Amino acid sequence: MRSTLVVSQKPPYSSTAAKDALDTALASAAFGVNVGLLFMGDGVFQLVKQQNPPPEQKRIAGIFDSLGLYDIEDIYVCEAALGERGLTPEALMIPATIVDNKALKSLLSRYDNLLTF
Amino acid sequence: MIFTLHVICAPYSQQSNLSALQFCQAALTAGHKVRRVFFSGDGVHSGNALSVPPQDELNLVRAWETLAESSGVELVVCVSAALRRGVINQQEANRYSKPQYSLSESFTLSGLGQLVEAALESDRVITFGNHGG
Amino acid sequence: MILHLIATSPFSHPAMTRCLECLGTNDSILLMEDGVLLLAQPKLLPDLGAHQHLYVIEQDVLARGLNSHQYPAVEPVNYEQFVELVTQHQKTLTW
Repeated sequence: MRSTLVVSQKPPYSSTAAKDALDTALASAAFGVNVGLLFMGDGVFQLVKQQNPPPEQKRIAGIFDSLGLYDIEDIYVCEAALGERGLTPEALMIPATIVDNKALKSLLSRYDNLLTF
Repeated sequence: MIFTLHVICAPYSQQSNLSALQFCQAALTAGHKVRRVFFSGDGVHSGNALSVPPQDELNLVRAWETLAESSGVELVVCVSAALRRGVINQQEANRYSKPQYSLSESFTLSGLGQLVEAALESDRVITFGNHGG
Repeated sequence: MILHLIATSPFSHPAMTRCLECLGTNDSILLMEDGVLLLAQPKLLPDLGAHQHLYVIEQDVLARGLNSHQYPAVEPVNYEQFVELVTQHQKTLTW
């Protein structure tokens, strides 16, 4: 079975990229693909707790709730991206594996496909 | 080898849309197969048949259509992204009581499953577009 | 063995810096579109390992009035070669 790592690099709210990445992860899981989800760059802002978007914008956290339903458990967050942005793992709303550059390298090599958003 | 292309940027807004087209043409010329080109996000504008660029500029929608006609490569736009952006076919226009439809006949509307399925059947998946980093 | 695709200017986006931090020993980088603007500033040319390559889409270089041939470490390619590179690497990562 082929595996896919969905790489989510965009912050929430400014575009639909974050949602597109999550939807692709869910669709992959629905097809039985072994799927991982990696948050890099500004993508880590998707995971920040206590987001209060205005009524015109949908909270992205709603989609995170469905990750468990689809058995997507391999969730990774780039340590360097957190550090650069003054964030710590405690600031994140879902449990995730924090990966340093070395772990990131092996993560990228482990999956068959890398789908970036 | 079998390729799937995932295009996430709009024609004219980002050169990656044209790069995807050029990659697709080069892959076919080299004798490879392109299982499917899947357009999501702003990439769905590639299928907007109402696009009218100036005559001395490359018509990207037309170029994608020509590619599909000449090679049989499947062009699929993500239905949820496309509906949001007004890239809809006749059936959807009727369903939502819209006065017009815009999707080129060389493209089909379908779900993200088409991207996942194509990826499963391909040796390589290449994403075009993004401003990440 | 990953082919990293960078299409953004190094003067506006940190893609190159981040890419280098997780570049595997057998990975290579292909600069395309605004990614080739890196050639304007030789100081930005990455220090790569023996099995890592830096490719540039030559038509994007020429379009922007730049020159790839002044740098021995930079390998200009056309789209035919781009396709070949994708087949030679196990996967691609678009930054």
